[in-house]
Amino acid sequence: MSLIRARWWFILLAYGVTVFLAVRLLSADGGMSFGKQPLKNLTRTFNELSHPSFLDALVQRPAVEFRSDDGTLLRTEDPQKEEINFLMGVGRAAVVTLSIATVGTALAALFAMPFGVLAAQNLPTFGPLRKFAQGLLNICRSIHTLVFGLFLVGIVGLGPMAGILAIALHSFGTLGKLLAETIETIDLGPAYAIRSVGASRLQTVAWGIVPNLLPAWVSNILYVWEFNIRDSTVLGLVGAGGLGLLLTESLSLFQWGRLATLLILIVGLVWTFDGISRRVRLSLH
Amino acid sequence: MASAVVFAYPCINPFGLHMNPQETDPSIPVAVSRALWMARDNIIVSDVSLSIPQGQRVVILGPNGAGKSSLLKLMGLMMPPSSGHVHIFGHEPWAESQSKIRSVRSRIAWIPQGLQVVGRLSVLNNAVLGCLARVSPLKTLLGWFPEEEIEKARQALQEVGVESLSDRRTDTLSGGERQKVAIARALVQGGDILFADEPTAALDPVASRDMMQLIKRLSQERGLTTVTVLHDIELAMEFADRIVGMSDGKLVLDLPTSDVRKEQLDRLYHHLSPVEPPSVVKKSATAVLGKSSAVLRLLSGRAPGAEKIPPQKT
Repeated sequence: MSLIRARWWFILLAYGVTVFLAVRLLSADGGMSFGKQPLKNLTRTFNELSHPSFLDALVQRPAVEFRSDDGTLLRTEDPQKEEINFLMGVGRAAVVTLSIATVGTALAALFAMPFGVLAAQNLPTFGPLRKFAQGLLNICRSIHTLVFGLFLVGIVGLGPMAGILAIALHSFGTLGKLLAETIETIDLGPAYAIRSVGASRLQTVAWGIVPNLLPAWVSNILYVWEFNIRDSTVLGLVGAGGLGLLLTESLSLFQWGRLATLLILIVGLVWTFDGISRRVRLSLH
Repeated sequence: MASAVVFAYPCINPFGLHMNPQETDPSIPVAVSRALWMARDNIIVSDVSLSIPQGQRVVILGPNGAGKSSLLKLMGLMMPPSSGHVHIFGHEPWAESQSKIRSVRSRIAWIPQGLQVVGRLSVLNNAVLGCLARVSPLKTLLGWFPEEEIEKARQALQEVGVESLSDRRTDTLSGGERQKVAIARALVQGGDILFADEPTAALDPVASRDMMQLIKRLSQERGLTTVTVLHDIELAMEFADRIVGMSDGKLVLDLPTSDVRKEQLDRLYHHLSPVEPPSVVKKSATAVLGKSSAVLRLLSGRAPGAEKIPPQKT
């Protein structure tokens, strides 16, 4: 006899049926096919990406000469110099991308603080106000950054501002929800004790709830920040500036080497930030 | 149903009706009259009237779930009574403004059940939080406290005997030490009334005795009116001037300590009325009226003639 409760078997069964139905639905109109030559295509992609363009910046090579049909020299190009120029452009774009993520996350954190407190179920907040805060957070959370970006490019024009606002709006929803859930898990006893000394509502939150909340809150912000660094690299796809712009460029010009350089850079950025944020989080406890 | 409560016994009372002069006597620290507290449909505190003169040490005894903590919260203005009145020094704060509630609350030091200190703050910081009602809110939000308040917190920590721990984080302390920090916070708050909800719950017998002696000494030195919820009968007899017994939300015993016999308290903990036969009013009213009993249950124990309704077999 299994000691696992029947309910868990039922949940497992229900999940299995759901996945099965999804596969059936997709395969009905051929959505589950891997294409004609998946292996060949895979190796080709690997080959194209296996020579990241930044390697060209390291070695001196003969200049490429561009001539017209009658043989007159139009211009010469030093591949090394070209690549160094490109890398500098990438550097500037990376700084823009990091800045977009940073400013966007900071804005989101600022606005998520009051709304997260309002949305928490266990605080004595005015009911309709709580519902409003919860609704707003849910709406912002369920619309993807990229979709926000598309709208905002139409509203504030091309450039980093659209990216900042897109990130801020989506992260506002995520951070507010996370904050509300953290508040719901903490012990409110100390808060009632602080209220009993005659403290105002704001003081009660500041001294009875915030101290216990702070580590979780900071680690949430770091987590979302890290998330946003990755998200902001694709925001360029909709014209919001930064690395994403170079990403679309190299994709549409079939410059696979440059694409590889960009991907390596993005992985490196996210990895480095993850390491830093983990250290900060550990030092909080 | 909420409207029925307000209709029957308005707790917000702008015209001062139903107040009798004795209740509003400003020299009486705590006066509760006909207080009722309901959580959802359950009556937790039922028709309690209690008046505590200046400087008296009262201990509330009673089995778990008798409504002791709820009564203490009502008296400490942590929640409004569903009906009835709570007067603190002649004021009825729930009938007045939110700021009045806060200012009267600041005169009541309330030590809640279960070591309620802010774990991630230092001991000194926890103690200094007692002054929140006195100092500028904006400055405290930035973590700035006046020097004299910090000095006061240090003295309070010295008085309860944990001054050597003042820089430690509170969540690294033992149960007894945390309880002392909570008391130090109450001392910094400096009210005229001290409510302590099971201050010895987490302590061993010797530490419990020390704790109660500490509270007794402080209340004598500062002339505090104290109300303590305890479970230890002997400790209560030793500490209190007056013992109040609660059972099923009602006051069933209210005597000076010298008049209390130990058998009465033992009976109390066995859910037997120490002075009169157990009341059946609440049960019978519900049984007789069935669905429409909500309003009557509100009135239970005080509707005229309700006690004459015979209990029905169900």
